[in-house]
Formats: sequence, structure tokens, C-alpha cells
Amino acid sequence: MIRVTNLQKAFQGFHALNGVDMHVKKGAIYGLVGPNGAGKSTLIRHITGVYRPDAGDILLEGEPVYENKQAKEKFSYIPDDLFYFMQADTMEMKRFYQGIYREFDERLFFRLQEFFPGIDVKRNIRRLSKGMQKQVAFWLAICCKPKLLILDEPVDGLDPVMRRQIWSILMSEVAENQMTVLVSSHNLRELEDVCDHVGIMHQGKIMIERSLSDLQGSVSKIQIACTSGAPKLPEQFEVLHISNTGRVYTMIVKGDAKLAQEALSEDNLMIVDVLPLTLEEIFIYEMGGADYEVKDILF
Amino acid sequence: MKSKISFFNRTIFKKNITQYWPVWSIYLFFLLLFWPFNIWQMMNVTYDLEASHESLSYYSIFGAVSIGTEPVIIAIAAVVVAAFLFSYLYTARNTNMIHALPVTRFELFVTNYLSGLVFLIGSQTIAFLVGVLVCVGLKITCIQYLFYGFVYAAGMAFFFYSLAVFVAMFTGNRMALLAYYFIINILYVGVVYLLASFQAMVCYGQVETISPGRLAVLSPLVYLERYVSVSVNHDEMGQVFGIYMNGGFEIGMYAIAAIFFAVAACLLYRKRNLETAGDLVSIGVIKPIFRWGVALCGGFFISMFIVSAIGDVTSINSLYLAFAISIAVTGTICFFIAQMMIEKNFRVFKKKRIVECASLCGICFLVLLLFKLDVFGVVEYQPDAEDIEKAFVYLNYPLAVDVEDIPDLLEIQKEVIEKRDEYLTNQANGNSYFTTFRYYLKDGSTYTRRYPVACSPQYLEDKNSPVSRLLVYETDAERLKKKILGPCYNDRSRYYDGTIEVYDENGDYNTLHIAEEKLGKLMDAIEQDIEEGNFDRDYISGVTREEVVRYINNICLYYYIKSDQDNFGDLDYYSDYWEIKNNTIGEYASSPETYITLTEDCVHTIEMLAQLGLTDGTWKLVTDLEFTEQQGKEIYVD
Repeated sequence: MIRVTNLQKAFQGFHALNGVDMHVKKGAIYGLVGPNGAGKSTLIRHITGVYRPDAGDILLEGEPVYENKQAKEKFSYIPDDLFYFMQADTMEMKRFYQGIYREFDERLFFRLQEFFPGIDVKRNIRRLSKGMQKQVAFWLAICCKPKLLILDEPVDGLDPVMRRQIWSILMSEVAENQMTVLVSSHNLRELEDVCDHVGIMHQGKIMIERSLSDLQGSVSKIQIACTSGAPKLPEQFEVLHISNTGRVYTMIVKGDAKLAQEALSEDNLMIVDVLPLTLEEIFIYEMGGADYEVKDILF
Repeated sequence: MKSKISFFNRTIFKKNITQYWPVWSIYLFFLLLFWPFNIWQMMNVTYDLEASHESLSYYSIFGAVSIGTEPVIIAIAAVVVAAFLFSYLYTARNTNMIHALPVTRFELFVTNYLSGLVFLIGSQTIAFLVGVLVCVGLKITCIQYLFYGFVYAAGMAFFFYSLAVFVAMFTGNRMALLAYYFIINILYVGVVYLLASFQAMVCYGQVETISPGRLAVLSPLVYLERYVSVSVNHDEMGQVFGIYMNGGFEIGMYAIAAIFFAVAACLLYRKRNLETAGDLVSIGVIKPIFRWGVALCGGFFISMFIVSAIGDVTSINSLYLAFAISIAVTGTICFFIAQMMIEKNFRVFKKKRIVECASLCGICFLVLLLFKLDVFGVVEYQPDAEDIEKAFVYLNYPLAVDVEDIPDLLEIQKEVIEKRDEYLTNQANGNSYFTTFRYYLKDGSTYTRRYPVACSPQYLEDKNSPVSRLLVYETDAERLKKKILGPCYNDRSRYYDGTIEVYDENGDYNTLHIAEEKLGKLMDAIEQDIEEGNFDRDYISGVTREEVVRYINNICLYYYIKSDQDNFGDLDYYSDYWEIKNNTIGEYASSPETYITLTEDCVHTIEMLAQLGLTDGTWKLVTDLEFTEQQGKEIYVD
């Protein structure tokens, strides 16, 4: 669906994107994660055709997106900072989007109205709460019937019930219409629940791009209770982090978890346990490896 | 509904109309006030009960067209409309949202550009059509002038709006757009004024009066303000017969330029980096120009203020030194302020910028030095006689110089220039009189110089000195007749009325009407007095004619002038010949008057006043001294 190749962008000498390569498959829910200033929003603004790249290509179903009306019709975009026209109410915005997007589904709009009972469609959107404004954005974006939905920090300001409801609508769109979702978020816990692919950005580059299951399988947390000394692993395992509380050691290990467990069992250890890593932990350890200042928040 | 035309988006157009309705409706409201309501009001609420319907019609249309074609109003409306329609470029979230929509930039530009034209010209069209209906209802037949006014207004709206949109592409900030637009509209003339002011401070003979000539076209608002005018045409008997509109050609030229601005704006928009939303300057190459422009203009302007505030910098060398120090300080401050505004950051003192600023100061010092050495020949420069359309020498009043006398005037001026050191010394001693030489050149520009012409007794006795030659020129009888009686003094049929103020013993005054049949005799007497040199002369009068006894009574003569006849009766130091020339056939210049002040030497005139019964034992002429005594207090009589 999306193919980004060697994308580069500099702002007054600062390289915000430094050769980004990215691939989002059709029907995937792709989570774009990364620390502040990694270039996520800049990347999204290139994918939406807002910014002109200094170098590189961005293709949407094989078509370049910049200044391409046909390509832009394929996606809806919900930015982190929403914008609505002055004095506009939901119905006016609906009419606007209806005029802009050929595929806009008016019947779906009215059908979805029951999911947003708190929204007064005749009220100036700018007077609605931030959460309600976000709901309107989702409502309108889904009604545009996009092949690709691009979300930048999408659920900020939404209450948990509404978050669940919106994700459920999105998931059903993905399931029924093969809609692709590209979502950038800091809420890794939430991404973990919905994404099937993840790209981790750092300093203007995609460091890792994998399916979530691959990513979770490649790094594991092993807790060891030792009788004496510290546990040691053979050289083929990369230990991203090690810490201890008394004789209980916690190791974050890159590599096959089973083999690591077997290697440790051969040593004089009392208990060896392998725990699954959350996306948040993977992110923290990967970023730690990339000189990201996360040492202080590790255990 | 989707637009089928790829360069125009109906949804966005509709959104513009509905979202910004206050913008166009306020403009429309004012236009309806300016045009139809104004016409109706002038036709129905008049204080001139004797005015004919035809005359009222012309004045009504004149009033409507005058205000409807006022360039300043149109320029303001245009930039406000542009600022609203392209406001989405000035906030990041707005620009991100709009540009992520399936609409190309070209489509966005054309739609928004056309929306603005509809706001402006659409409103003008509605106001014009309502105006036509009002005219039809009021049986006004000269509707064609309303149409011309509409075309003028539409042409200016097209230009100013295109210019505003063009300027809008250079910035990412709405307030900056308004500021840049204002600056660009006066930039050329402003820079010329700055230079002229600077030269006036440091160069001998230079004045602050600006003369940008035809290049003032680069300052559209100033140029159109100068050239677009509407006036009522009168026949020789003062009857209104039409409306004269000036500036159509200029508007046409600007309308052509507007096409260029619109195309250039579109190209800039397509290349625009949208991440510049909120930035003061959105195009990289403009940033150094902005920095240098702010530093130079700001530095020069503040320096002139500071140096003139110091006040007692009398020697030219210390003036240059003060200027150099001031411009180095203020220019540097302005330079870094501009950089802070560009970067939106106070930390701008980087090596590269410091070197750049030092170069700027170096260039300023060099320019100062070049001026001091008069490398540009500013002080020495005089135009050729054949390039001069009209020449004036400003004594106490503007004295028009005949074409054949222009070479002589240039000679006098040349001598004044050559004796600069001598004259400056005289000025310091208080023995000089500031005299201005002003030439209106055939290319439309104006040349003005002002010198402290030495007038001590030594120079007055020397018949070849500039002051003596100017005195001889001034007191030439023909010239004095023109000045005192008016430019058409030879044609008595043009004089239709006159008045004189006379006083009784108690100091009470009466204004007497001078009947047409008495005017001729009175004017003959005045001419005789002029020929005999009995009239006061104005040039350095304080020095040369202190003993003259003047009457406070004013004789006022009213006359008509022909459309092609020079009329400089009301010309003062700040008047503009071009303006007066353009307005000569207009309403205000058609029936001027001249005021005559008598001295005790004007024996023929005084005698004739008595003969005509205008003065007698009761009502008489009163000298300023007598009047002061009568009033029992000091009064000032010029």
C-alpha cells in the first residue's frame, strides 16, 4: 500500500528524515513508533503529500503521492492537531468532505451517528471538547471510505470507552474492506493491541520494521534466581540489559529465548523463567541501544 | 457535488463564500453606501436649492465615483480578502489539513484566487448595478461615468488583490503579509524619501522633497493615489458638463502587471514549502534581502532621527561622523532583530551572521564616504534646460519662470552651487535667505534644490550676484502682473467679481462688492502701480523693504481660467505642479481668486478706489499700524 524509499528532508540544515525506507502492506495496521523528534509526524506529512521531499520516493499503490489528486483520494488523514473551519458544525464539515471525497458515504455517516451520541451535529465543532472533536474526525474520516487511514496520535483525549469503540469500528473496516491503517502513537500499550506491524523510528530513520510477532519473538526477558554470582550467556546472545535485586537477575536478551533458557539452565541456577516483552519494553530497549536516554527508566 | 473542472474546486469555493461571508458582505455594504446610497443622498439632500437636476446628477455621480475609485480603500479591501482566503497557509494545522485533501495546489490556488476576485469585483458589480437602478429611478442620465468608475475600481481591485496574493506567497504569517503588502506599496517612494532625507542632511542644496518621477510606478498605491483622480468638468461659464477621470491608462498598465503577479504567485505557491507556516519569510532566498532591507532602512531611518535630534551638529564632518556611528549601531541592531524574527529565536549571534553584519556596516561607511566626496555628483548635478517642462524659483512664493529664462535660472543656480563654502559661511552668520529651485522635468520627475542664498548688503549691491539677479527677475512688471492679478490678467472678460474690505474709525469692517464695470478701471490702476514699481516685492522683503507701509485691506478678484491655462495662484511650497496641471480643468481650479495687498506707494490704485466710491470718509484703507492702534493691542500682520 505504502512504499517509502530513501526519503530525505532537511529543515534549514537539520535532517529531519535521513533516508527513510518503509513498507506498509495492504490491509495491515502499521504502528509507527519512535521517540519525540524521531521524524514520525514529518514522515506522515510526506506520506499525506503535504511536504515535498528533498529526495526519495513515496508511492501509494504504486503512484507518487505528492500533488497527485488520485493518490490522495485513497486516504484519509487525522492529524494530531485537528483543524476545523471557523464556525463550522459537523454537518457543514460533512458537506465539505462530501464535496471533496468522491467515495464519501452519506448513509454510513448517518448510520454511524448512533456511535457518537454525545455530538451535537449542529454545534460549532470548535466549541466541542477535544475528545469530541477527535470523534468527529474519526467519523468523517471513516465516511470518506479510504483505502488507507493515516492517524497521527489518534486517541489522545478520548475516553477509554470511546477508544475501544473507535478501534472496533476501524478493525471492522480493516476486516471488511481491507482498509490499511498507518498509526503513529506514543501509546505503545494500545498499539500492541491493534497493530500487526511496527516500525520504530529514530533520528529520521526507520530502525526496525517487522511484524509485531517477529519483534516480540526476537527479544525476551529472562528472570534468573542465582545461588551465587551473576548469570552468564554464551557470546551468540546479545544482552541488551541486565539488572538485579538481590540474587534475582533480570536479563533482556536478543536471540532465541529457548536456546538462552537452555544455556542458562546448564549453569548453577535455581530458577530460570522467560517472560514476554511488551511493545513498550521492546521500544525502550531498542532505543536504549540507539543511544536513546532511557537508562533512567529501566527498572 | 464534485467539480468537473480540474483547476477549480466548487466545494472549496462554496466554503470560501460561506465561511468568509462577513468579509465580502462588509465590503459590499460599504460599496452600497459609497455608490447607490451616496447618489440617492446627494440627489435628495442638497443645500444648493438653485442647482439644476443635470448639475446635481453630475455631482452625485462624481461623489460616488470619487470615493468608489479611491485606491487606498480598494488596496485595503484587497489585502484583507487575500489575508483571509490564504490564511490556511499561515497555521500549520490548517495548512496540513487542507494540503492532505485530494486537491492539487494549482486547484487550491485558482479556487482561492477566483474567490477573492468574486469577493471584490463581485461586490463592486452588485454595487454598480444597484447604483444604475438608483440612477434610473432618479432620472440621472450620465450613468456612463458610473460605469467608468466601476471599471476603474475593478481594475484596481484586480491589481491590488493580485499583488496581495503574490506577497502572501512570501510569508507564512498573516500580520507579516499585511506589513509586507503595505511596505511593497510604498517601498520605492519610501526608499527615495529616505535617500532624499539623508542627502538633505549631508549634501549641500538637497531637500527632503522626493521626486521619484515615473519610477514611482514601483510604488503602486502612491502612484495610483497620485494619478487616479475624478473631477467635474465646467464650461467657461462655470456650468457642469461632464466628469473628467484621470488614470485609466495607469490602471490598465497595472491590470497587465496583475496578470504577472497572479501567475508568479501561482508558481511560488506550487513550489512553496508548507513547513514555513508561521514563518515571517517563507522563501529562503528572501531571508538575506529581508535582513539587509530591515537593517538598511531601519538603520538609516533611526540614524536620521537620532542625528537630527542631536541638533547642534553643524559641521559637515561631525555630521558624517555622527551618522556613521549611529548607522553602525542602529543598523546592527536592526540586522539582528530581523534575524531573530526570521529564526524565531534570540540566539542569532553566530559567526556567519556577525561577519555578514560587519560587511553591511562596511558598505554603509563606504556609501557615506562616497556621498561626502560627492562621487555621485549629487551636489553639482543640474538638469538640461531642454529637459525642463516647468521651472519655479521659490521666494516668499512660487515664481514661475518663463521657458526662455530657464537657462538664466540654471546659471544663477550654478553660481550658488560653486560658491557653496562662501554661502555656508554666510548662512552661519545669518546673512542668507533660503531659496528653492524646482524644475518639473519632461520625464515626469521633479528636481528640487534649496540653498542659503547670501543676501548681505555686499551681495545686494553687486548687480551680478544671484540675489540681485533674482530680485530683478521677480520685479519684472509682466511677472508681477501675473502674480498679483492672475495668469489671465490680459483678458479682462475673465474677471467677473471682486471684493474689498474697508474699515471705519472704530475698526469695524465692511466687505464691499466691486461691480463688474468697476473691475476694469481698478485693474488698470493696479497695473499702472505695478509698472511704476509701487507694489511690494516679496523676496527677502524683511531685508530690503522694511520701511514700506502696508494696508491690511484685502482686494479680492475672482476670475475664470481656460482649461489649458496655467493656474498657479494657489501653488505653495508643498504643492505639486503635476497635480495642479492635471486638475486645471477640474472643479476646484476653474474659478480661482487672487488677493491683493496694497502699500502706501500704490497711489493709482488708492486714488481709483476713492473714485469708484469704494473708499470714502467713513470706510477707508487702514495701515497695520493704524489698525493696531485702533484695536489697542498688538497684532501680527504678515
